[in-house]
Amino acid sequence: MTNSIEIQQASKAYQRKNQAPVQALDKLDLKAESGDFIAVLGPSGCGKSTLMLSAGGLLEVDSGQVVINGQDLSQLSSSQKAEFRAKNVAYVYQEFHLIPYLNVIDNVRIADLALGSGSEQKAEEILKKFGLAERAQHLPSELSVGEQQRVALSRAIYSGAKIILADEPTGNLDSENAETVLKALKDFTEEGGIVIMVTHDDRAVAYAAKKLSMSAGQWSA
Amino acid sequence: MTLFKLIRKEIGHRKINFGLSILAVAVAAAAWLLSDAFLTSANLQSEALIQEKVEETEKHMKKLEDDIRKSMKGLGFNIYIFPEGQDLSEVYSQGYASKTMPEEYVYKLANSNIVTVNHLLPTLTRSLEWPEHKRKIVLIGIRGQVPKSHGKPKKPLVNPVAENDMVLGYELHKSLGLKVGDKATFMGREFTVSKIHRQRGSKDDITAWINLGVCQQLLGMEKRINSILALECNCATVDRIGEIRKELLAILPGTQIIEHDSKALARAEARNKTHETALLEIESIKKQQHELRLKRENMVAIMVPFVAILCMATIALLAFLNVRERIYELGLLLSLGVKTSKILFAYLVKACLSALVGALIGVGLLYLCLNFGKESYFNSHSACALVQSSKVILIIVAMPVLAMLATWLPALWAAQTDPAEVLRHD
Repeated sequence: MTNSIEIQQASKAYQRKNQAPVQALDKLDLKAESGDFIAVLGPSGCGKSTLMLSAGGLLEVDSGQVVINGQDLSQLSSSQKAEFRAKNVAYVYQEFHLIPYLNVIDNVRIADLALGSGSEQKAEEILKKFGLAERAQHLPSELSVGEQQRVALSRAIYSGAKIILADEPTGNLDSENAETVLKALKDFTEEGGIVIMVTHDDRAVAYAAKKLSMSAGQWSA
Repeated sequence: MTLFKLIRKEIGHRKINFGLSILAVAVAAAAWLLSDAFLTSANLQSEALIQEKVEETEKHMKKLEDDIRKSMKGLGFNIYIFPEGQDLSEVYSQGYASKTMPEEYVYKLANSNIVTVNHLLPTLTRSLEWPEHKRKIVLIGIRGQVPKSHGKPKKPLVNPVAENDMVLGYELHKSLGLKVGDKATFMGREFTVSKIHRQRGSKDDITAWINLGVCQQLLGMEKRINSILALECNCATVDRIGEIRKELLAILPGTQIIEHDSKALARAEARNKTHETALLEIESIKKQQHELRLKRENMVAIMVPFVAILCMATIALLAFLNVRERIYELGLLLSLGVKTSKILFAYLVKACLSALVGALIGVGLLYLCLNFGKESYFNSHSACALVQSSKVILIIVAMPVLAMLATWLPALWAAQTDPAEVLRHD
């Protein structure tokens, strides 16, 4: 099955009290299909994070459309959107957002709460692939920064989603760990997934097949 | 990974928050039940005080009643039965009734099942001149005691006078010089003096007693009497004359009854008065205790909701703090696609669990307090007497409900966390 994500003429402005609104997205278009690894670059405040949140349906655009695998997200209720997101989109953050009181394997399997079912074996296999098999019972606080990001990536892959939206996934990592994460993302796209990655990291940009620059909510040359 | 595992792990991670929730519920549950136990204890104490007073009064009244019975027995509770239509003022002024009634009345009474009257003495009394001696005397015809046809036979209090005998009062014996065994003629009929009474200082001293039949014959009043004296009457109630009158009038309608002796009556009245005073005192204690009870109940009625609100506010505050602390975690869960209903449910389950554990600890605390403070604060009442099991069950059920209500707003806040807003600023 081919996966796709299409953003058409998406605009999003943040209203501010007694100040002019901030136009985070301004009639932005983006299209990605299975195998695409897209790096989005741009200065802080140019709308990269808004793009990522809107692409996953966490943020509603003011105008335009976000269509994932043929489904227009604006047509879904918030409950349906949550269910759809659980199956189709996964996020990877710079800050990892691991749950501090859950061990590694439970953090990976947290998506079970959204999916309603899961597999211990699948989680173990993913952890093994990321070299975390020995760390399965450890708490996030007992892991290195690189290991924590690998756990976050394992969580995204475990969910079964074919679209990963990564926001500065290597921002806090040393080069060795960054390589591991980027390689894993590349492998993911080679297996038919889509990765849209916001980054400032040149190492990460090098892994992406397509590079897009943003400025004031629009694509820039 | 299940929601319950997440809840369990989160509780283990934030022990202080969860522990404080439990503590709030435990204190509220214990305070609620303890105030109730205090109230019950005070009420039981108050009831015991009233009961003690009632028993003391009853004991006192019983003693007084015994005293009355004894004095009644000693004094003889006597009544006079007079004919229908007799002017009682005439009886009081001249000492006997001018009207007469059939002698048969006394037999009717004796043959009835009357229980309040024991000894029945029919008499025919007249004040007249002793023709042979030209002097004023009181003549009383008596036949002795008429035996009652039912009940235990009583020993006669008054002996009959034989047909030819005469009993004289002290003054007649003295002034006429008549002694026992002397012959005396009265209205042409000869009598033998059979007995002389000692001086009594009353009309009895100028009285001559003869046989009733002979008296009726001499006065031309065959089968007539003018009074029945009933001696040693029984009386179970305080209104003894009323009781006797009721019974007698059912047998001898129209007759008039007066009490002959007043000392026992005075005592009965005194007893009655004492009883009334005691009852008033008991009523006053009851009223006082009732007022105290209302005050205590009002205090509890204020305290219990206050404690419950305080407990709910604490739980709500702890839940708000928890949501604030977990805001990124909640954002993550929602971004993963976890439904808001699951977040809401997780918070409510945790609140329910903490309240359940808290309520059980509160009940434990209560029994501990009851055990240690049994002598000092609970008037030695047992825990079973002070705490109703239904109340304990109510607390165990109500606390989780209250805790869930208190957690509702924070849980709603958690469930409505905007993941985009949270993750955009991370």
